[in-house]
Amino acid sequence: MSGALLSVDRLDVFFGAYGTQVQALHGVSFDVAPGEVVGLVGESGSGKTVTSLALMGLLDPRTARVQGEARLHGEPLWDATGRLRPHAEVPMAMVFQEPMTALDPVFRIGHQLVETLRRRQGLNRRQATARAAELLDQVGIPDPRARLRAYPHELSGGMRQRVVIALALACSPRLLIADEPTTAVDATIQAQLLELITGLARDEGMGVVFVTHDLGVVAQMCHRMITMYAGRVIESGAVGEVLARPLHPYTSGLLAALPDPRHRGGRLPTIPGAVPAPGRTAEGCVFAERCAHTRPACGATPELRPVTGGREVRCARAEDLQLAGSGS
Amino acid sequence: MNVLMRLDDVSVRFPVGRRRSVSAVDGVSLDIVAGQTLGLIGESGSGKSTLARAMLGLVPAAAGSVSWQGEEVARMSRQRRRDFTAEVQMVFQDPHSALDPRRRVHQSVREPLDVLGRGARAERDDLVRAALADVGLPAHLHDRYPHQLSGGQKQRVNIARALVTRPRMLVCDESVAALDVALQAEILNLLGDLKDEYDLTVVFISHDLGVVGHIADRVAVMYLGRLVETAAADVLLDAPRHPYTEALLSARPDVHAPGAGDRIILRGDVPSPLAPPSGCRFHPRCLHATAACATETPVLLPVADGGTSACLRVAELYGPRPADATRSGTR
Repeated sequence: MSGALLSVDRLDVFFGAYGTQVQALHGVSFDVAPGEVVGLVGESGSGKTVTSLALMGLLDPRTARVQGEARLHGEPLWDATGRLRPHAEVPMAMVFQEPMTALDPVFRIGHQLVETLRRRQGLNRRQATARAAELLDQVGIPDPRARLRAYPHELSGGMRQRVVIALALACSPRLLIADEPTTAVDATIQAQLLELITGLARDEGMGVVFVTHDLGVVAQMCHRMITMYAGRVIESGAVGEVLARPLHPYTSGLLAALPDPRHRGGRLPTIPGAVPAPGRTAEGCVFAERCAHTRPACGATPELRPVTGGREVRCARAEDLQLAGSGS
Repeated sequence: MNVLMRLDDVSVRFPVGRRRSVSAVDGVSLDIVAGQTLGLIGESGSGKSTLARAMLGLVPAAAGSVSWQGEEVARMSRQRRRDFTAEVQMVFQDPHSALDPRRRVHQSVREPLDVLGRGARAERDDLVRAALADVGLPAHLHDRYPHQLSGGQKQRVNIARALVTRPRMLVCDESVAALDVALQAEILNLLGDLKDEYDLTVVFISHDLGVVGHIADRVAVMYLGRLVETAAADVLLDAPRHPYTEALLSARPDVHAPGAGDRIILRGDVPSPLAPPSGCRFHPRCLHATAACATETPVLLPVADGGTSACLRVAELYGPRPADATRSGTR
């Protein structure tokens, strides 16, 4: 797709030594447009975090092998050794799930911001300090000048996550990869952080890959969503359409399993079984053994194929099924 | 209504440094009715887990009392306290860290019976097998170690351990928070089944309004150690009568109603319980706060539909209080 900010093309990731290696990602492809927030959704083990780590060049080349291509503004993300190329060439940044481990506990947060700005932006100490305070202000931290002197442990969880977001924004990335950035914070703080990230995408035209297991968050803030299962993209499309009328039984199953206060009590539909362990190779659809709609046709391995409305699905029976979506 | 457990003005304090203490729970009064599922909701630091521990007698109340079927837990004899322990059990949040990694599943589940010295060894083993069967753990997994089980299986083991003493009340502290949505649905279904089978009264603690709304009959909302609202679950979700509950409901990203209306985004962070705000503890973040809210402490008073709310402006914001209700009658 032309005009894409990020384009990921047939990304494969293998872990372990040759011979015993397992494949964690199978040909993951997707695009992110400028200003677009794309939700990467799935259960633990679906490959959403491996995707974000691979994009950031954070997988250890000694244990992981990455195949495929990813480009930001047409420039390849990684150098020949698989490491992320310099920020000046591929301006992207990442926000991690756990803010306490993403910050260095022994340095003041001002130091961590200033260090990044001086090294990456070539600012002098004074300029960098001023910019650091600006960044804290931008992410909604009150009294930013004073906060620069705080250590991470002196801040609340929500504040820490704001600092991590400020660090990610320090070098004005064009693409932000956010891996479950609000899972460790409270509901009222989550609402603030989601608003912050959505605002940055809208106002600065920043593209966002938002990794989450929370379909409510996706419904609220993403433009498009990509459902992953067992290291594969199994469905993608505009959020409103996918949620209202999912085409893959797995997406529909995830939606149905969410407690809905409007239908209190009663039994929640579940998805029997568990995500298959990576490396298990079987013919046919990877979801077939947990799927309520399996037919002999599912014995053939389905490809991710385009369907109407700019959507994609990896299910042989997508057109025959009338699956339940949100609000039904 | 048969009140199984009554909390009367319970406060729990923890010492912090010299002569200072933090009130994790501050003057909470609550009745837990037999057969009901009570949802306890709040953000981190709201005191919901501390309140749960106070219910089980795991932390002493600095003031007020916890009574079990009319008997004050703190004054129970040793023998009565053992019975109480068997009757009130807890399921913790993290299914992994709640199990001893060096014990096999059946050993962990048998431990409460060993401690209580119930029956002969063979009888205990039968009870363990029955409890594990009730939570749906296949027999070939009973000899496994926790690390050999999935997260959902581990949480089933934790539930079995809580049930093996045949409790009357189960306190679940964020028992599904660490699970994926499909697993969460399975465990919620299981808890629903067990509640009927074992005739349980359940206290379900969670930060997730969707989950609480699904499972609970009645909901109590905590903020910074105090109860701010209680109501029947459907009433609370439909027509909250405290600004904090309203904000929590509005902040919840809802897949079934995305972008519905204007979201209430609260300013600022939850204040530290070490230095709680004066007056109404919610006033610095409240959209409706007035000068009085900073000085006057609101008490939990009855509102319509059998609920209670601790807000000075409740009548103004959410309609008049019922005239005939008295505090003790509807708490």
